[in-house]
Amino acid sequence: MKKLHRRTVLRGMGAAIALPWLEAMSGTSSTPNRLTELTTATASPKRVAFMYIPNGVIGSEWFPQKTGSNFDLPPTLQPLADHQADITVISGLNRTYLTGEPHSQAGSCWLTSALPNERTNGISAIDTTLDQLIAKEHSRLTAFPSMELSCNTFVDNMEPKVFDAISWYASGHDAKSSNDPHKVFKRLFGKATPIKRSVLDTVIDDAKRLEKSLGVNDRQKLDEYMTSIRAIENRMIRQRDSKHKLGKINFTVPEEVPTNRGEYIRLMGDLMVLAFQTDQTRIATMMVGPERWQTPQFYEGVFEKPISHHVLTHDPDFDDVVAKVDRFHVAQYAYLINRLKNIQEGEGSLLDSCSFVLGSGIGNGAIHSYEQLPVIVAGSGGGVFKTGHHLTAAKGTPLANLWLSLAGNMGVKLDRFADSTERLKGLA
Amino acid sequence: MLLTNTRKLWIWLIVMSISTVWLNPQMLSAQGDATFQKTIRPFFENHCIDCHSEGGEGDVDLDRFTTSKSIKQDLAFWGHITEILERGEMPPADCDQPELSELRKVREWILGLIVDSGPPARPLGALRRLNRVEYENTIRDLFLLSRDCFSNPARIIQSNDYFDPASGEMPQSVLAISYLAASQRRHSDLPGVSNLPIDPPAPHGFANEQSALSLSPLLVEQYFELASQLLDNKEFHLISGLWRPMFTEGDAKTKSEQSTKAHTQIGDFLPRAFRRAVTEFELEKYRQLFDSEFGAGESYTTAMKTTVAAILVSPHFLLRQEFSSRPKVNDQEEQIWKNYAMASRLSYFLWGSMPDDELFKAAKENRLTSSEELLSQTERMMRDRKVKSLATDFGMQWLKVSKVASVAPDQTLYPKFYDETMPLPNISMMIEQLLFFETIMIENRSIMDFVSADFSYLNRQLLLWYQEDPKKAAKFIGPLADYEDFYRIKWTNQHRGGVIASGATLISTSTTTRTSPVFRGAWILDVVFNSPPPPAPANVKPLVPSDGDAEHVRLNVRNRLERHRLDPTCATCHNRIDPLGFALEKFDATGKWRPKYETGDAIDSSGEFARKGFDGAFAFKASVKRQESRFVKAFCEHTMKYALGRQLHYSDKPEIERVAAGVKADELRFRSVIKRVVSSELFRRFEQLPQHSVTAESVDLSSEKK
Repeated sequence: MKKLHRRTVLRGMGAAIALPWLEAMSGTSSTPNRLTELTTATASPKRVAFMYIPNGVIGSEWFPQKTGSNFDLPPTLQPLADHQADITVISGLNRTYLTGEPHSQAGSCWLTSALPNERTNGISAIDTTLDQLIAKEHSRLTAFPSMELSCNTFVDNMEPKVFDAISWYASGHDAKSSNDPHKVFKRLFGKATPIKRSVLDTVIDDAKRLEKSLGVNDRQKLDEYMTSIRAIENRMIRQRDSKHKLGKINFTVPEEVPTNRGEYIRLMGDLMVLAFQTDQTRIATMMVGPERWQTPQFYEGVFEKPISHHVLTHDPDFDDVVAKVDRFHVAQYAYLINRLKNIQEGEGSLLDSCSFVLGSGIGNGAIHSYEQLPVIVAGSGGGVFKTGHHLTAAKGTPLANLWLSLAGNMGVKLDRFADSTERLKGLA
Repeated sequence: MLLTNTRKLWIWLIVMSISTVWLNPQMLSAQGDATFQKTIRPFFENHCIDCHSEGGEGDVDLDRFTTSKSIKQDLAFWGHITEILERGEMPPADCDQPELSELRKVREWILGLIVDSGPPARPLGALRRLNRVEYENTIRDLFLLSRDCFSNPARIIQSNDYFDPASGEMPQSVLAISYLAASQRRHSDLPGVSNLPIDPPAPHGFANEQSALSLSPLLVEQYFELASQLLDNKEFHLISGLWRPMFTEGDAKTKSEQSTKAHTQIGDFLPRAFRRAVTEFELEKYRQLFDSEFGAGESYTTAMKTTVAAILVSPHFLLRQEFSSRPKVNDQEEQIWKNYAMASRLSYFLWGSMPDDELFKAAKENRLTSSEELLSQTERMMRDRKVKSLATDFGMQWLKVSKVASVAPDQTLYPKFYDETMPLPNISMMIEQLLFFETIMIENRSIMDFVSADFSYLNRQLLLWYQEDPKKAAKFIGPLADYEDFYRIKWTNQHRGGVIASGATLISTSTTTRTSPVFRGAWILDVVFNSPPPPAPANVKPLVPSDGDAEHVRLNVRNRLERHRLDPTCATCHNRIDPLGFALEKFDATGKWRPKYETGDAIDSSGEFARKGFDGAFAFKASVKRQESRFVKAFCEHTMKYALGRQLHYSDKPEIERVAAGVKADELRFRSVIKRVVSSELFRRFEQLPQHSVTAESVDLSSEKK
């Protein structure tokens, strides 16, 4: 493992020496080329985040009439009024539906790199999702290759994980998300329980010996264990090296997990922003709620009593209520855009370095349609993407075209991502 | 107009009823092509091929199967055919119906062919991590804790004094303190010790399947953290029977005495933690870990804590390894592995925890390969209090009870639900469901009681909620009775009783504002018949609005669904689902009895099941009871899935038939299901992977030396 030569770094980085992401380089195993590639395009590192809303949206209230830069904001998108110049509203993107449960596929295969026909039973997301592909590229640069957040507070209502996970390391191997703001904060900035080298070595030896006696399927399972152990080792090194340079974090997590839904989503989002700001990670996914769960939830300030989002999407009596839920989610997104915008980094704002996507894996929830998916991208991905317009994709454009563009911008060189045909036209 | 059409449809459907058909397991054996040509092929020619030939209905072509060999090549499909025939879905009601004896013969023949073909060559994954409950129980038993220290809402009831399986009966009244108030808590009962995240179940399965249990950095970090949190916790030291003998020096004065003591303790602990015989090499490795810590100046206790913390994050502790994935090394080693793997299989099935000393002893003495020994161990284990896991884990997951915790009926429509002088009724309903299950289990009752029973356990609140005879209620309940007291009652409303019409089921299959016959019907198909309807696909038709098209009449939920079913693409599944839900329509969205809709409109709770009409929940339950073999088989399938921790396969069908027939012979007793599952081929078999999938560098663990 070669340590980075300081001069190499300075050449690649320009003047941005004082910024925290530099800390990632001490003791890093990244090659100079890789690092230069990922950081030279702008002064700040690039970030990508995905915020997922379940069960589709009411399209008639979401999609603008006018295309181009002079687009209108329909009722659902009204909360974005202050940020119209920073976003790209995209319409006309589709996915391919496979026989099987439409909701579990909607979320678990939203970011999948698998071709639609490669999925088994349409249930499990085969293959790595976009965020994890990008995270692999960046894994040695930050303490956390990626961050998975969830705003699902219910622990009692047990549904299979395919409904509640959008981030997957591999087929059947979900990246478990965190829904506890205290734990997230502690993990990012707290004092980690020290793990002794001798303990790690002992259990790694156990695993290596065990592996020899296993068949193929079981090896994959054991590999989940080994990968996790390595991630912990990596994190321990990064955190040891960068901790003293993080400085004081001016952020307090409230004692109780907020019962107010909006407050809760904003808190989880704040933690994501904070992780970006301190360069603890550059890749994040955040699930606002699980797909299809019928668990009623209370949306303070919007409705007087708990409602079940999924149940209502299937009842045309309640279209107006569902549109209000959509607008509520957009408002939380707008809040986070605002947060990212107000953090100065280098010449610009934190938002400038981001591609911050809001979307759902279903278009029209009432009929489980996989067409006309709601997607918004905030931020220019480090000055690469055009913002402030409504982009109407040509009929039949796969959502994967957008994913291909984002992957490319994050330094993942791919000719194709899932069923993509080309990079999304009009985005850059 | 609309309703008349639908009525006609019903009448047209109710042509004949199918009664329950038991197969003869003796008949499930190899049968040649001659039988196929003589009986089987003509059956399909007479009843199926008219519609199902090439390019025929539903893309199903049965005509192409002209020899028994051709069927053998597509057994998964034919396994499915046996289910369709059993459910009486085909041939359609307006066609000539086969004789029951014919049907049975055909199913027996197909299953016989499956038996004949032997177990399929498929890669089986057997390595899986302990789920949250198993982890917690294993910690409890490994450290000899005097009480449960994790606040796990899945256990529903905190107080367990009433639970005495050895007595063979449940008490008339039970003090049941709910766990659920604490369910959203982040911490365990021990200060500073965090809870693990809950593990969700596999789709149509349980939370102990390999596919549902993955590991991630986040989780493995928590295992590390939890191990040191537990071992550093003073309260944990107090409740652990292992603390003093293992973690303190005791009489060992000198360094060398202490080191010797540590080695002995590790030697006792490691096989229990890994749940098998350990090799000299493994033992030495952990002893060395202790020595290096101890030698570096750490105290005896600290060095021991470090060693045990390592054991608790070792893959051998966190993962359950079954024998199937190991290459065969030699007969003796194979016997040892099989015995220990069987001990774990049995103890995680019945107790959700590690084997106890008696099981380990039986494994060591190579006794667990005998079916008699397994049965006597099962008898013994069913009398142990730890068998509660079978109710809280298997039972409550089977009945989908976790969903009851998060219901929230509309406050305007159901204000009494939120009466501040009482706990929430749904929490009491979960307790009721658990006590009901435990009663059938402990009292070894007929499993048909799940479908319909005349008793339950209710507290004061549920007696009022269900509007059970108030006079009778008064007899049980004095003025001081608390909500935590549950009394065994005999139902007065015969529509109630059994899991289908239980409060827990009724409330969790409703939306916040109304009942959902669709959710209810789907629950019944899934839970009662293990035949979950396929999910609604993409591009479905939405429900019609409640004000209809232009008629400006408020449609009730039944009318709206009837309209939905007019669309043939929706009808295929909803014809199967909705009628079952209609049976329960006189129970409102909160489980209360209602003779009429809230609007004053009459409620139609009639429907059709297995081609026989019914009206109301009581009649429906009676018709389910007439389908006895289907329920018994379904229950055996659920149990088997849980016992094996995997989905069932077509090739498992014949063995399930044998288990079910055995249960029938034992008067359908609960314990018989458990015993028949334990002594079944499926449970006792360790499937061996084909040798070529195992790598060349496989080592002989027993001969491994330092």
